[in-house]
Amino acid sequence: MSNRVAILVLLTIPSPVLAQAVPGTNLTVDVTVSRIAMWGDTTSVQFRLHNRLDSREQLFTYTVDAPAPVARIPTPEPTAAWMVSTDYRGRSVADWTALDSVVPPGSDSPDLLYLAVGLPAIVANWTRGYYPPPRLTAADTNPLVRPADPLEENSIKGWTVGIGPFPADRRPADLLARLRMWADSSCHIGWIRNRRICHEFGEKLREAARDLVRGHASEAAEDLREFVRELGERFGRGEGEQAHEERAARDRVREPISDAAYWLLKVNAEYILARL
Amino acid sequence: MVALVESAHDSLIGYRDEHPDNHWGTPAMVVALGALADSFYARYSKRLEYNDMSLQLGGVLDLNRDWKPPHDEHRVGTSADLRTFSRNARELRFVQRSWELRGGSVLDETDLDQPHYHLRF
Repeated sequence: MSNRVAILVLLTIPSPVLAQAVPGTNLTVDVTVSRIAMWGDTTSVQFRLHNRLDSREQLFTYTVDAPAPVARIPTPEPTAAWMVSTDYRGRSVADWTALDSVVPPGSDSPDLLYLAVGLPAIVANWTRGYYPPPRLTAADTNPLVRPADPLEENSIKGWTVGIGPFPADRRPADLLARLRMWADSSCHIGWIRNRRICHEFGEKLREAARDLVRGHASEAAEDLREFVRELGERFGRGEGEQAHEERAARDRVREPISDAAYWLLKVNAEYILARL
Repeated sequence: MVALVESAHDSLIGYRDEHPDNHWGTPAMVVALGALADSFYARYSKRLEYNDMSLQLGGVLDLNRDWKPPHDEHRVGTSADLRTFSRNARELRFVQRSWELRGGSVLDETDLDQPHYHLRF
């Protein structure tokens, strides 16, 4: 009888009590790059975050490294529940803070958008769950301790697509070399999971680079157009925007090309095409 | 250390007979507190209230007239107490995050007679 009681007591203890990780890291957030667009030299990146149902903290902050300084970062709706910033302790970032429980477990953020002058690039990002400020204790006060760094100590670091400054040299050959680097990195990070696709994309971009060296700009442009077309087909853009969004949400794990890779490569390739 | 001077965006509170002048801090701390008050006022049109910081020459801020803690951190101009009881949850989160972004951290002392955040910088 006493064993049964003990088991029942154990079953009623909530799991977070049994396994509490570092405050701020008790959540799993799926970051979707939902759109990237360019107007002249200015790029906009739009994210949507999903805080998974099994998370144990509501979303508090989302921070994206901004090697190209942020030109504009609109406050999401409802504006009273969000604050935005472009600076974290002297570091250039795009930062969104939820001032309320607007993204609890099992829910989506609104669109988080920022603009900067530059091109899409792979950058670091951090998500952090909310926890109240810790209690000041005697141990905290003597000897003196430095302020905590929540970005390093209480956040989950990952990679996403942000905006990097324009390279010093904007000739197509240099931009193409940069695009090939992004394609390789996308495969290395796992944004493109299929090795065959990685190989095919690599070949296509090498062909474009060879054509450029030979001075055959129109052939290089055709190679790039084909690359963008294949990228779209692999990503599933051919099926229509809404159908794609629905399928991507259902089938996120099996997507052969992630949204991050798609937008990173597409926009960079189209920028080169416009200069050929 | 330099004095935090009251502005249109903040109030200095907590003067007492034994320490009539307790709003001194390092130059960086004073600048950061001013910036925090400015950003809070810009958003909420309300003034922040800063209580104990440090003495002009530092040293023990003798809160309980016994030369013992609490207030150990208030010796070197890198701490300040911020009154919280008139702030709602959104405002407190705004303060917490704004202070973090500037390089500080927030510690909770809202369960005391005079509820406040301890701002460390």
